[in-house]
Amino acid sequence: MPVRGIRRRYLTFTIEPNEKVEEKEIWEVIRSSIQTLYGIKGISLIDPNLIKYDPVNRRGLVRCTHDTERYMRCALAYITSIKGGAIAVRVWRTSGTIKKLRNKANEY
Amino acid sequence: MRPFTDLHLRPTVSEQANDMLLLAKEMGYKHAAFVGNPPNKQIPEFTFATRVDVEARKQRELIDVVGKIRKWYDIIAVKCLTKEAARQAAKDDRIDIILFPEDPTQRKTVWLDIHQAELTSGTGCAYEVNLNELLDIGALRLSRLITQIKKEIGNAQKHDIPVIFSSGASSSILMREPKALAALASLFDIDEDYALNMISKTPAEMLIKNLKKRERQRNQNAG
Repeated sequence: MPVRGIRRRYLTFTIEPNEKVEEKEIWEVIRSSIQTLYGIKGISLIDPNLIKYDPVNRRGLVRCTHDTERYMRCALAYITSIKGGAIAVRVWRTSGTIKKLRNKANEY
Repeated sequence: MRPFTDLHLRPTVSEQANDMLLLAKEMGYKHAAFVGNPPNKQIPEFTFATRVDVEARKQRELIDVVGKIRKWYDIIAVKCLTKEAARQAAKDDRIDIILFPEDPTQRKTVWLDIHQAELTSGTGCAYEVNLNELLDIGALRLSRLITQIKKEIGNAQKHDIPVIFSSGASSSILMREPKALAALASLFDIDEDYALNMISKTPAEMLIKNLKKRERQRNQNAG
């Protein structure tokens, strides 16, 4: 019997201001933000994954489960600093597939 | 589309206010209110209002200040530092918004309790939560504050007090897009529709009503 896979949600974001941030650092800060707000169980529910991050344009693509998009947005909005410098993570587009995001925004 | 509104932007200089205005428009806001330094330019399909934040300790002091400043600003918000000031603010229909101290310890004594909510419900005064209260604080303090705000929102809902969620941003880096604000409101265990109303319908109605009221007063004074 076929089993339906877990539905995902993909969010594109940008980092402001023009601060050079590495992929590892941004992943660390996203995970830490989720952990602060929702704990370890929250991380497992949201199942976050940084799919791609472009440090030059400061754009990234993050994935979460379909029903926890609100929590993911919340965790991203809660990020205020990285390496002691003030930043803001702004989500610009969300979609159920990476392909649609690519078509819509032509970002990746 | 919802008329997203941020009723609490606090730029330090006018140039910063202009940047914040443009960013707000780009993020999808339709209205905003500025404290202190309003922008010196207009942009199409975007309205902004002037707002003043009054910090009050004494009842008499609050009555005097509000009487003096009411005609100069579109929105008057009062941060109640004592119970005495909070009770007065709740009774005064010239006040549009009441807010409470960020410090959870202080907020244990001055908050939107049942009696405060009963007094506030008749005046049409709104209760405001600011995002800047929640950012950059330790986990323990954040958890206490969230618990407190949850209780306050519960009391506000019971007494039909309008609830507003604003950014309280002092720079563009602290501003958040409307859906991010609505997502952050999920920390208070409220449903998404109510959260969206907190940043769109409720503050937008207040802003438009007050702008119209001031316009009428200006016309009366001119006539």
